[in-house]
Amino acid sequence: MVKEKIKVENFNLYFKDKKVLNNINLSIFENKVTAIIGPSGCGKSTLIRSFNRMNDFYNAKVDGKIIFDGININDRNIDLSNLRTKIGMVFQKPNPFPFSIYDNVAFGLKVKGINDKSFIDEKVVKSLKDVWLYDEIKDRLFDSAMSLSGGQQQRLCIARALANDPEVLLLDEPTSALDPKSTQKIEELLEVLKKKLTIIIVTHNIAQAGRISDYTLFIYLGEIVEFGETKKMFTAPENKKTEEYITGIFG
Amino acid sequence: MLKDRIESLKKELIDYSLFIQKMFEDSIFSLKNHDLKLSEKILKEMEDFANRKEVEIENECVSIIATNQPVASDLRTLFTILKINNDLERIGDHCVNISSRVDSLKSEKIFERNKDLEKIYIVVKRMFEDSIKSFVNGDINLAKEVLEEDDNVDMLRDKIVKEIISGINKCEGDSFLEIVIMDVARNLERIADLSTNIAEDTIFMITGKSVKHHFEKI
Repeated sequence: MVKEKIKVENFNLYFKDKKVLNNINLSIFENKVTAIIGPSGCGKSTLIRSFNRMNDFYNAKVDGKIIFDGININDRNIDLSNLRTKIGMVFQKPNPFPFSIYDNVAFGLKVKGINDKSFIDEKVVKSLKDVWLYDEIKDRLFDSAMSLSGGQQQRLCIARALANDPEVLLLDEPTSALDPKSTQKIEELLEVLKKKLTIIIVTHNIAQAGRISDYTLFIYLGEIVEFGETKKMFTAPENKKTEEYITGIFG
Repeated sequence: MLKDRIESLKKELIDYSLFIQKMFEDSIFSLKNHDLKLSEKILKEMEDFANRKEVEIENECVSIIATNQPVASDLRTLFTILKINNDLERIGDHCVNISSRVDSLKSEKIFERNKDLEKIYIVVKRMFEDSIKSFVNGDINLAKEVLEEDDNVDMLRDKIVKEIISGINKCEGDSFLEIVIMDVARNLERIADLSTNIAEDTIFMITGKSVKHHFEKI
């Protein structure tokens, strides 16, 4: 039985006067991977950034609701820092901070004011183990994070998000800058992480959406064209536009 | 490009189906007319070609799937091609079974001896041709007509078997010939089943729904 983790109701988003997302209604299910697909400029990244209010940085105006744990996250008095801890995010390009590997993972905890060293140590090791990075770098925890390969840096960014014990992980094209082997590792990692987390991923790679997601959302021109189980959508999509997009006729 | 490769593979499959249709007609012709030369050709040359062609189409299908990761209608078309390809090869095997009876029959004309055999052949031939037509034209109604015919074939086959067993029990007629008639009827009925498979797979290709065993309605 699937449980709803996030519910989007009549959600619209505007940048200045331009409506970028139009009447989005959607359920994100717990411990499932939901892939957002669609051609460039369709609103995928804007939608994923709506789940932890990252569009606030771009002066977006919104109406409608995004309900997470019973609370509308678009409410003005919401604690954004707390929201972004619970709904973590990883971006397209790995963006480790110019600190050591250890400090990157410990960053969120220290920002929250946690000073207990043994707690932080434990959390750093666990998070690095959770992304299968610990064994690769355990002898150089205090080396610069910049010394890691692209794939390792991306896993470090996931570990940094995991250290905050998020309930939802947002990934905006997390493997588009990675080689096939590093991509495979991240995909395998998501399969394991979804047992503990709810995952939403934006991807341009249709085959990747098919491989890793339980649900797929196809957006076109800021509107939902089709949402449903990935296995169904990739075998027999309901909508002609979805069919045309995933078979490469357009986009 | 993926679409071009699928289109070209579809043409290959259609050519293959025309070959198997000819093999089917020839196998019945050789039986009706006691044409040993034709039955030899089916057993030695046509079966070999049919087997090689099946492998060729299968390899191309696997290669397209491996290199293009097709989805939606492309994926359904490729799976349908793969399954019809296998069905055609099995129809070829039944044609071989029918042809292999020609030698043992001497000059006996079994189609004249049992009129129901001709009836069943006419229905099965139409089912086979229509199943391929439905695939070629994406014609769901024609595919459904094929499914509806299957029960008629089963009934005709049962009638033949029942009458023959009753005759054997009464020690009437030539038992060997009756067994051959029963065997040919059984092979024809299997060709009808395989034509039904082709029609069901065609419906899946068009609608994405499986109508096998009446699990889903269209």
